[in-house]
Amino acid sequence: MGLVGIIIKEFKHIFRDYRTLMVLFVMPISQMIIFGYAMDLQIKNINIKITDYDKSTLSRELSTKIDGSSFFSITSEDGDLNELFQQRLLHAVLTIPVGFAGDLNSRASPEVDVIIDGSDSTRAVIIRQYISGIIMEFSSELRGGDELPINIVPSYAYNAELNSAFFFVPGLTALIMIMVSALLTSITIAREKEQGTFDLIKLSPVHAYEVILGKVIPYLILSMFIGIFVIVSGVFLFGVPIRGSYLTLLLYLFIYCLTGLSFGILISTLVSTQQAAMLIAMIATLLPTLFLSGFIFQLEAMPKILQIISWVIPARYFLVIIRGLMLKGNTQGELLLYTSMLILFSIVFLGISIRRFKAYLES
Amino acid sequence: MEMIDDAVINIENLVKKFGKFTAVNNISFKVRKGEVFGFLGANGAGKTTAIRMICGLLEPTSGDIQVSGISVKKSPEKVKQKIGYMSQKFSLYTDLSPERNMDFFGDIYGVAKDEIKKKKSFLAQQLDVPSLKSIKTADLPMGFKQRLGLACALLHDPDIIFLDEPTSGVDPLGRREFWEEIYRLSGMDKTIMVTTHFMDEAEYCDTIAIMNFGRVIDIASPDSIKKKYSSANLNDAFIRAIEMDRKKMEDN
Repeated sequence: MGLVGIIIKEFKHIFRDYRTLMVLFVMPISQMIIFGYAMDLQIKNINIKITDYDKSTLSRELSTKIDGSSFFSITSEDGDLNELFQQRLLHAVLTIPVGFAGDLNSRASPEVDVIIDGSDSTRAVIIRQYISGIIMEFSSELRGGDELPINIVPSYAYNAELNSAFFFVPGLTALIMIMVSALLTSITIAREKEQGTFDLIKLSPVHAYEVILGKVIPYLILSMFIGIFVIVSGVFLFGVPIRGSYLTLLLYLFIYCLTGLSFGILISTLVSTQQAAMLIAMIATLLPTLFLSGFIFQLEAMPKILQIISWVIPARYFLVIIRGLMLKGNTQGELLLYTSMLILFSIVFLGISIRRFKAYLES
Repeated sequence: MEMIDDAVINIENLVKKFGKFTAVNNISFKVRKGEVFGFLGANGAGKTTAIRMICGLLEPTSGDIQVSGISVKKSPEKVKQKIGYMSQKFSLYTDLSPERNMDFFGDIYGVAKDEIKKKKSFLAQQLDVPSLKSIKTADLPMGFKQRLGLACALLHDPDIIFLDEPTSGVDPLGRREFWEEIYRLSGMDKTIMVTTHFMDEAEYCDTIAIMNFGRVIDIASPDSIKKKYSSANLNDAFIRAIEMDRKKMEDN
């Protein structure tokens, strides 16, 4: 009786406030589009200056090869290198020493000198890879290919073209869903505390579990719609595949949303204003998910202490799940461990919340 | 002795402290069934704190509260069905329609659907509006809002009704209508505990308790209070009572 009443009322709140509803759907889409254009891992228009001291046919051929690639454009800017780097007119300098052609012909290893702007290290690494790629190709062509002892031709499994959308669509889904679901429930209960309507609920004979389920169920349905919308946008806008089962993806998304909503409920038992609820929900979901879930930074490369902290970040588990289901085509069973962790989180969050609410309602 | 027999609210040595500040300082009194009992006092005298403790919204620091013979501290759940509460701060869902608010509060108290329907049409008739459905509660005039709040507090037909400054912000006509409703309820043998700082409202009460700095400094019918402080009206009597209390405190 009380439960159904609360659920109906909550749905009325949701549909009355269509502005918030719109934000909930527009925000993820705009985030995805911004990420989609900003996070292209390919770098183009690298300005490179080639100083050729050898002035041989071979050294000129190398220059032409670099110029011909779509990544580089050769500049003829003269002047102090430091100043050119500072003004961002130059990203790299290649120096070909005297004797380059002679060394190549006599089968010794010639050395070229490269200076790269290292102020953006990610970019610097990519530029270095481009340059060495071109030089390797150049020398292997010259020697007939087979003479290089090891020729590495990497192929990337599950993401053959190293498409950056494959990387950010699952990650962004994990981030958006935990944030939105935690915000939804924490704000709705804090709002009732602020407006005084919670006093009336407190005085009524409803049970703590009815209040909590009455809040969780409507928002679970709403966040499922948002989650599906986000994933479908990722698939259609950026061509990310779903290689696993759709049903499993839905089921695990459901569990992940439940974790976020339960977390939001837990926050709402600790605060009494909407502002505090929003702030805590944002800080507790956004930053850990960005930094400690494995979305952007590799967990394995982190200090042990941060790795341990990451065990309590729900997005860490969901990221494995959603990458597995979208990119690798994992089965339900292969991801069971990660799902169990999410279920565990939900039970703990809801359990503590019900206990706290019970104490609150009966005081 | 007959006072004790029909006492529905029994307060003994009730104290509430917020840190070092004592909001309610050791108050004791009884309220009879069917009585309109008013807490009169300046802002910050402890009226709201007292009424919130008695209805179970706030935990007392010490003291005993019995409502209908049930200890609020021991079995708060049993008291809930017997009481209705409404506060100065309008606390219904302003984004929903009045009808939806009544449906919701009726539902969480387990009130039957046709009973809720009856009460809705009664309120619509009282307020002289054709429907409670198509308006947003936020857009109602203050007087209507408070009447809706009262209607919601009465849905489960409680024996005791707590009203915390129910008419603040309501125009004089709206206040009179609200008090007519309180009288109607009192006539139905419901006990009403109300806080106010309006003297004309205090006149309507059967008993008033004057509060100052968390203490009840006097408790009697409005007529006896006026007589005791030899004042023509309650306003003068109230001011005299407060002044005498202040003097007594300074002497101590």
